[in-house]
Amino acid sequence: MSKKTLTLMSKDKQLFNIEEHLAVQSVTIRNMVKEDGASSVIPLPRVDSETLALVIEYLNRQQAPEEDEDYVKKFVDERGEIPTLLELAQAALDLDIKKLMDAACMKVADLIKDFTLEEVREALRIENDRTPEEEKAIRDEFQWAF
Amino acid sequence: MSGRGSRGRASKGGGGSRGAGPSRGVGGSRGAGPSGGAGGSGFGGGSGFADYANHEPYIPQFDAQQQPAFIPHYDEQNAGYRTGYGTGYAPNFYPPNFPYPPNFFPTQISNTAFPTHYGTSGVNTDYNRGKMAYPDLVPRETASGSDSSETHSYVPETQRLPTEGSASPEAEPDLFPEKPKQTFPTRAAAKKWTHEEEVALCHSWINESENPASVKFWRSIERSFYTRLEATPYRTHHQLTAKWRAMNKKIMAFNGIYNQIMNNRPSGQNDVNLLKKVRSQYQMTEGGVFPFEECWEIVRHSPKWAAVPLMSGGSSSRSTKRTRTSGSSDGHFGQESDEVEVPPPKRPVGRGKAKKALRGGQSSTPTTDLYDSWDRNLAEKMDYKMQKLELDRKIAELEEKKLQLQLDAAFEEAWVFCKTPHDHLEGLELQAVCFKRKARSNRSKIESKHRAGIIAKQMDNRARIITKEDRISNLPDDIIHCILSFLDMKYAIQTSALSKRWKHIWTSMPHLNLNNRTFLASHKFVKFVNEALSHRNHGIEVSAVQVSFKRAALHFDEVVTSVVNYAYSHNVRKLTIEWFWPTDPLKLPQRLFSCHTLKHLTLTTNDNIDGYGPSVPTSAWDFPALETLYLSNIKFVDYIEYRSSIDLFSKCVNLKDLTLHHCSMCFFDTFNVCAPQLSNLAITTPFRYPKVFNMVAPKLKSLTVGVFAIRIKQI
Repeated sequence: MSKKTLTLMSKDKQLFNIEEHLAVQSVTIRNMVKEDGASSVIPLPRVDSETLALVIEYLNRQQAPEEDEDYVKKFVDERGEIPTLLELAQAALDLDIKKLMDAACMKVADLIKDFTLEEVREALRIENDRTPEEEKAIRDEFQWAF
Repeated sequence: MSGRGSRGRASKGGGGSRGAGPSRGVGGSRGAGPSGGAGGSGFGGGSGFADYANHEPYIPQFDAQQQPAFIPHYDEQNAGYRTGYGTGYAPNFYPPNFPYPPNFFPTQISNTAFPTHYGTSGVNTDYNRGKMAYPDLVPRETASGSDSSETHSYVPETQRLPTEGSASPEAEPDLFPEKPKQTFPTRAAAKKWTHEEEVALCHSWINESENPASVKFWRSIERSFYTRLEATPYRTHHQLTAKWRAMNKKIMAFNGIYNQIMNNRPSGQNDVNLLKKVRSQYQMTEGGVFPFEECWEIVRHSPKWAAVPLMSGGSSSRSTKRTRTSGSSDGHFGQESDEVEVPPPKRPVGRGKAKKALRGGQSSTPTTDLYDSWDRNLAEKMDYKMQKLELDRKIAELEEKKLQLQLDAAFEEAWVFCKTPHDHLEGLELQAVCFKRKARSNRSKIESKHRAGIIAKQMDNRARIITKEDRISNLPDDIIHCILSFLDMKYAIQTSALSKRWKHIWTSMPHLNLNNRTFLASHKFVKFVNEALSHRNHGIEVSAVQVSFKRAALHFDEVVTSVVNYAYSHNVRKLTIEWFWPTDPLKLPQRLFSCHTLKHLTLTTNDNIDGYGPSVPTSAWDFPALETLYLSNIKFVDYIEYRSSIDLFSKCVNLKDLTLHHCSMCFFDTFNVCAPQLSNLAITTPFRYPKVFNMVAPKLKSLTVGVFAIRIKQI
């Protein structure tokens, strides 16, 4: 049986080829393949080309199942910046690759867990759309958690 | 004794003296003298030698009278002397030209005091014999009260006499004051013990023995001894101890007799009479006059010698008697009060206690001045050392502070750089610059590598979390939930303060990660759990709940019950309860063991809390959907009724993976595992096995069991 190849298209219209038996680790792709057989190109409108390259790299890994966990960890560690990880998590969510998504989210949590809220807000550039009074009200509401 | 004396004489004397020995024994001392001297040829004055020979018996005779018990050998000799010489020969009456008692010049005989014509061999023989065998005789001479002036008058001018000292026995200590100790290497050369010395030795010994904080006992005695005599050390350590041993033996004997007589004291006897009696009895039993009465007077009151009251009529029986009578009526009271209560002898302070007190500076025991100064020096030294240590510590502290400041500065700089936008730098380039900055600040961290490692990691994290836009808020809730699920629930709830968008994100989290790590007070954790559960969006199912007790598992029941109730009513699929601190035997609520949605259950603790494993219900667990079950340190035991077999998993029809880690199953004879879907069973590091382990698992693929012997019936 010849190996079937699928083509994935990122949001900036770049094309990536991947063998089908590797691509079906993604539940989304598996379902698509099941539905309409041999569709030529699978569009991924929310994934940019850099991230998709990473995902393809991840899917192409050649690891024994028992080393898989370690590999995923190492994989996200090497690309351990939050912007990349968030994109990766987004792509993993869209493609429904649970392992990758968990690993990416875990790494993000690991990175931010030592910082205070203010630092996180500053670093992640989350805009504080509350007035100080409102924020204080929130803190009072959940004072058992602060 | 006699054999030794004669042997010494035989070896030291020449041929003539060997022949002289026996003859002298029968009394011919006059003849013996010349025969001994005959070995030396050409002596000058025959009269001088004769005189010396005449005088020769003086020493043994004198000593023998004083110490008859010790010198039986000399007794015979003296008898001979006396018969030959006449008993009227008093020691003080030296012949007119008697040169000098030979033992007064033990080392000078051969060179100046006694010229060669004296026949050194003969002289030395006698001298050595007397001295070697009876060193203790010497002080008796002093005690005899021989008149120094009289003796002096008989000393002829021709002899080289020490001008600075007299020939009298009292002057003896001064005779060779400049002589170093090495010239008295043997016991033969030991000076006679004077009375004062004996008394001083007694005092020193008593003082030191009653000082419980005494260190280096005999050295202290020596020091105190010479301090009392106001002299520099002139006796060897051995001489002191030997003298003490000899004295001690006699004093003990005398004291024993004294105590014995005092205990059976006849009425109407006064102390003087008693003492007389003691003396006579001592003479009878020990065969001689007790020479150390003054010393005995010193030591008799110290605890070692003091009489111990007899226990037969002692205080114990008397006290019981008294209590009994005092409880009764007045009748015998006066009679009883006649008896005198003898207080039991007080025990001295323990050595360790006294030393401790000394160290604490509150010594109640008297110590010598020398010790005081020594301790002061030691204390000063210690103080100095402590001060130095303190200084060192301060310096280290300051250096650490300095380092910390440097680090903080570098850190701040790098942080400010990282967080300000650098539009001209893109991606990796920005990272490179950040890393360069970090490397620069890293250089000052060489000293404390570990801390630097942590800080570097934090800085690394800081560099990694920088984003150029608010990407995370625009992500779907699923991703945020996923991220928050790896964080502590407390932190997740705190994110509600980030912005309006974040306020309700946590309420719909499907994962609950409850951990009491950050709660110092356990009741606060209870409150937190209840509040968090009640504020949660109740329309959302809970997929996974993890309850961790990283601190002491107080309020365990309360927390677990509320969490389980909430989770089971929200279709939980995965439940993990773990605790890491030994507490009282934990009780797992009955409600925990019945859930129709639960797929994965983990009850775990760490291995090192043996015996604290919680017990679980022994009726069948109601988990129809359960697939994975991990139990660690669980005790399967029914406290209420004895049952021979247990079948927990009969209702877990979907169970696929079962792990029993360090569980005790020994309370049942038969342990049944009946699970049609079971494919993996692991029993790791079992605590105890049951007698029979029955397993019905047709789909079993993998089986792991610990090393204990086990009987498995596979059907």
